[in-house]
Amino acid sequence: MVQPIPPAEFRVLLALLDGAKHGHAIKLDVRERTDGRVEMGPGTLYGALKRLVARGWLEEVAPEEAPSGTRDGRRRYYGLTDAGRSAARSELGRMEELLAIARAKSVRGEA
Amino acid sequence: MRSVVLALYRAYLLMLPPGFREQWGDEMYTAAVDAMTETRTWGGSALAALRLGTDCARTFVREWTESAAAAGRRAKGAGMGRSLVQDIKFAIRSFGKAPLFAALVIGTLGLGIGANTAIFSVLHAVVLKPLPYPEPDELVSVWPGKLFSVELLDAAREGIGSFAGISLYGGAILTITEAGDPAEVFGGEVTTNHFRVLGVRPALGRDFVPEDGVPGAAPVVLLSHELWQRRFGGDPDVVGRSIDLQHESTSRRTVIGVMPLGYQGLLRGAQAWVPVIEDRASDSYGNSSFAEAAARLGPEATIETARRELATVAQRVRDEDPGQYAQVEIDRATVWPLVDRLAGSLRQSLFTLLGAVGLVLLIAAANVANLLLVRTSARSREIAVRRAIGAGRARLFRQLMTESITLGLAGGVAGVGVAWLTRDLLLGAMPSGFRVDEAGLSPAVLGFTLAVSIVASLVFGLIAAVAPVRRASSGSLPRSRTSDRRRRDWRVQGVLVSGEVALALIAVFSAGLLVSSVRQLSNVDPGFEPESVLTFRVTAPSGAYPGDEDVLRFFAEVESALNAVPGVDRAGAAGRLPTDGGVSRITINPEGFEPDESGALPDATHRLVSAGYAETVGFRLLEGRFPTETEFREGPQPTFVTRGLAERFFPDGAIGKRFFGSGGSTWLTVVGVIEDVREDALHGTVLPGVYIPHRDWAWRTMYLAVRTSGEPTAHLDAIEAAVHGVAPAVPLSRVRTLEDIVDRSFLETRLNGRLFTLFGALAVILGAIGVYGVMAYSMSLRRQEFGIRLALGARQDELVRRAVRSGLGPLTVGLVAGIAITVPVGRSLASSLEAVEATNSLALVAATGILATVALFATLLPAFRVGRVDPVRSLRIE
Repeated sequence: MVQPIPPAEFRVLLALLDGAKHGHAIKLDVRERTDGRVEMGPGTLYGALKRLVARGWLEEVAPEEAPSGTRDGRRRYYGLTDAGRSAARSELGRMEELLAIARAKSVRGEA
Repeated sequence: MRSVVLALYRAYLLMLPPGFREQWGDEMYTAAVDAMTETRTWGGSALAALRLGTDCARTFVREWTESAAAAGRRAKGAGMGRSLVQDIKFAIRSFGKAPLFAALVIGTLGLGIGANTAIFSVLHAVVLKPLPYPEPDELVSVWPGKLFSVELLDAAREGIGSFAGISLYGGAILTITEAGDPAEVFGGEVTTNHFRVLGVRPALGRDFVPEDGVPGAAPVVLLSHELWQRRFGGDPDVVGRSIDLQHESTSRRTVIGVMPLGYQGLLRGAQAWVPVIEDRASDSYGNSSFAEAAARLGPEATIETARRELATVAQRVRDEDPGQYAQVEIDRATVWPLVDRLAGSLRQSLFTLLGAVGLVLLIAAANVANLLLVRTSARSREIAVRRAIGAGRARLFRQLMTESITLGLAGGVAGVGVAWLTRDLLLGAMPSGFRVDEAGLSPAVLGFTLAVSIVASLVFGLIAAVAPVRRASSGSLPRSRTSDRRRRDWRVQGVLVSGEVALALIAVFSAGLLVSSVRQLSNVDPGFEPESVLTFRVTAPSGAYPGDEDVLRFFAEVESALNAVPGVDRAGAAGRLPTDGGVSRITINPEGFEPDESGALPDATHRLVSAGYAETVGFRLLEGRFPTETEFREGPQPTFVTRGLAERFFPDGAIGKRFFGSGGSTWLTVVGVIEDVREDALHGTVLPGVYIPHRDWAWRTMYLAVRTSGEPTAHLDAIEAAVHGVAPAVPLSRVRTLEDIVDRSFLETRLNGRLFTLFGALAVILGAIGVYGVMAYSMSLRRQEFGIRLALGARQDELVRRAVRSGLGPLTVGLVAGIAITVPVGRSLASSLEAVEATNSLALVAATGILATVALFATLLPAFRVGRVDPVRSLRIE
C-alpha cells in the first residue's frame, strides 16, 4: 500500500506539473486554481518543498527551465523529478479509485 | 502594523530548527512580506497576519517534530532535536514533581489565554472573518450624508465610476399565511441588482432582474433556504408558484427562487427578499428615505477614489436641489468596508474587550515570569552543576526556554478549555443580529491561541531565563549566594512587580469606569413608566385593509378592542418603542427659527403614535395637554414634544408654536410638552423628541403597548383574542414587557461592565499573587542576613520595618506609573462610554485604594514572618 501524499505536498506537485516555478508562483497557482480558498502560508509551503526535495520528488532547477513568463533571477526555482512525476500520477490513480467507489455507492444510496 | 508583524516574523524564524531555517528562512521571509503587502485594507492585513500566525504555529510544531525524529534516527549523539525531546521530557518530569507550582502557572495562564481566546473567537467571527462573498475586500458600505433614496442612488450610479455596482438594502416585515399558521417573517427589501453586486446566486430558480423593480411589475419574492424547508418542506415546485405573503399593500407574490443554504442576507436573519420598486414618477420619489447601500469597487478603484467621487456627488445634489437635500451632511458622507459597517458598534466594544484581556494576559505572564524566577533561583545549584560538567550556555538557555514553552502550551490547552466552558455564557450575553453565532473554536481561533501561548511563553521565558543563565556562566560552583547576585534578581523582580501593579491598576480603573457607567445608565429617569406594560408588534393585513385610511382604521379598532379587555387599563400604538434600539431621526424646521451659520437644521427623534399611547406608557405632561382623539383623526396635525426640544427652540413657551418636520407634509402644532424621554437608552444625552399622530405616515406595522393591572403576561391570551377579534389571521410578534425591553437596552454596557469587573478582579488577584511571591522570595533570600543581624542584636520590629520598606519601593513605583498611564487610558475609554466623566477621580482613587490595600497585605505577610526568624537556624542554612 502506497502512503497517501499529504494535501499541501500534493498541491505543490500539481502546481509544478506544467513546469518549474519559484515558491511565490506556486502559492499563486494554488490560490488561483482554488478560487482563493486555499492560501498556503510560508511555513506550509516551504515545509512541503523541503519534504518533497528530501524525498527526491523535486529538485532545484536553473531559472531558464521555468516558463518564460515567470522568470525572476532572484528567486529559486523548483521542478518535478521523474520520481515526483510518477508519485503524483500514482496518487491521482489512488484518488480516482476512491472516487469511483464513492460515486458507485452514492448513486445507489441516493436513488 | 505591517512592520511589526514582519519584525515578529523575523524573530520567529530564529526559533525554527537551524537546518530548516538556513535553507528556507530567506524565502519564507520574502513570502511573508508578499502576504502582508498584497492586501488593501486594515482588516485584510489583520487577516493576513492571523493566517501567518497560524502558519507559524503549525510550522513550528511540525518542523521541530521532524527534526527531532530525524535526529533520533541519526544517532545517539547529542543532536539538537534529540536534546529537544530530552528537554521536553525533563520539563514534564520536573513539573510533575512540583504539581502545585505547575498548577498555579498553568491555571494563571489558562485564565489569561482563555479570556483572550474567548474574546478573540467573537472578534474573529464578527469583524475579522471575510464576508462570505467572492472578493469580499471589494465590498463597501456607502453613506451619502443622508438616508438613501432612489434619486440619490441614481446620482451615485452616474457619478461614482469607482463602483462596479451599487445596490440598496433594508429590512422588511412580511406576513406569511401560505402553508401553515400566519407568521411574521423578517425579510430584506433590496434593489434588483443587490445579489449580483454581492456575488451570490439563488440555489434554485432565478435572481431578480431589473424588470422586477419597475412600477407595476408583478410582485416576486426570493425565499431563504431555511424558510423554504420549514414552510414548504423543500418542495422545488414552489418556484413559480404564487403564495400568500404580505408586504406593504401587496398580499400575494410569486416565488422566483431559493437562496443557498445558510444564506441570511446582510441584515442577519432575513428569510425572504422582495425587490425595491424604483418609482421615479411617484410623488415620493427622492423622498422615500430608504435604507443603506452596499457597493462593489471596480478593479482599479480604491476606497479613497470612491470617497472623493461620493463627496462630489453629495455636493452636487445639494447644490442642485437645496430644498430637498439641505440636510445632506457632506463632511459625513463616506465609503468604508462593508464588513466594518455590518459589525457596527460591536467592533469597538470587542476591540476594547480584547485590550482588557490582553492586559490580563500581560499580568499573568509577568506573574509566571516571577514564579519561574523563584524556581530557577532555587535551582541555581542544579544549573551550576550542569554548567560545570560541560553544558553550554546556549544549551542551558534552550532547556529553560523549552520548559517555558511547555508550560505555555499547557496553559494554552487550559485556555481553550476555559474558552469552551464559557462560550455559551459569553455568546448569550452578546447582542444578536451580528455574526456572533458563528463564533467558535475554529482553526483560526485555535491558531491565535497557539500563537498567543507561544508569544506569552517567550515573554516570561526570556525574562526568567536570562538572569540564571548569565549567572551560571560565571562558571564556578557557587559556595554561597553573594548579595550582589541577589540584588540583580531582586531588581528584575522589582520591575516585574511595578509593571504588574501598574497594569492591574489600569484594569481595575477601567472596570470601575464601566461599572459606574452601567450604574448611572440604569439609574436615570427614562421619562416613562415601564412597569406593567405588555408590548407586541402587528401588521395591518393588506387584504382587508388595503389603503392608508384602512390601516389607521385597523389600529383604531385594535386599540378600542384592547381597551375593552378586562384587566387592561389603556392601550396605544407607536412606530417604535422607547429604548428598543434605533431611533428614527428627522430634522425639524421650527417657524421663525434662525439656523446658525452652518445652515444645518436641528435633529430630533420622532415617533408616530396613536391617541392612547402617551398615557399607556406613562409620559409625564409638564405643560399643555395631549392631543384629543378627534385631533388624532382629523384637522391640523397636533404634536407633543419633549422638554429638551421645547427649551431649545421655543424658549418663550412652546404651546401653540408650529414646526415642519422633514418628510412630513404639513405644519405640526405643539399642544403639549412632556418630560424628556430616553428613546435611545445608550445615549448619555437625551435627544429632543417629537411625537406625531400615526396618520402623518400611516405605517402598516406598529408596536402596541398595553398597560394592565397586575402581571402583564397574565393577560396575553385575552389580548391576543381581542386582536384576533378584529383580524383573525394577524400574528402577534415580538411579545415582550416594556421592562424587559428597557433592561435589554443596557445589555451591551452591562455586559462590558461585568466582563471588565471580572477581568479587573482577575488582574488584582494575579497582581497580588505576584507581589506576594516576590516579597516571600526576597525575604527568603535575606533570611541569612536577617539572622546575622538578629544575632548581632538588631531588634525584630526594626527588621520587619526594613523588610516592609524594601517591598514598598516597587509597589509605589507601580502605583505611580499606573496612575500616569491610567489617566489617558481613562480619557479614551470614557469618550466611548455614556454617562461617564473623562477623569473620574473617584474611580481612580478607589482603584488605587483597592490595589494598594491588597498589595500591602501581600507585602506584609512575608515581612512579618521575618520577625520570627530563628537566628541559629537561619545561619545553619548554608
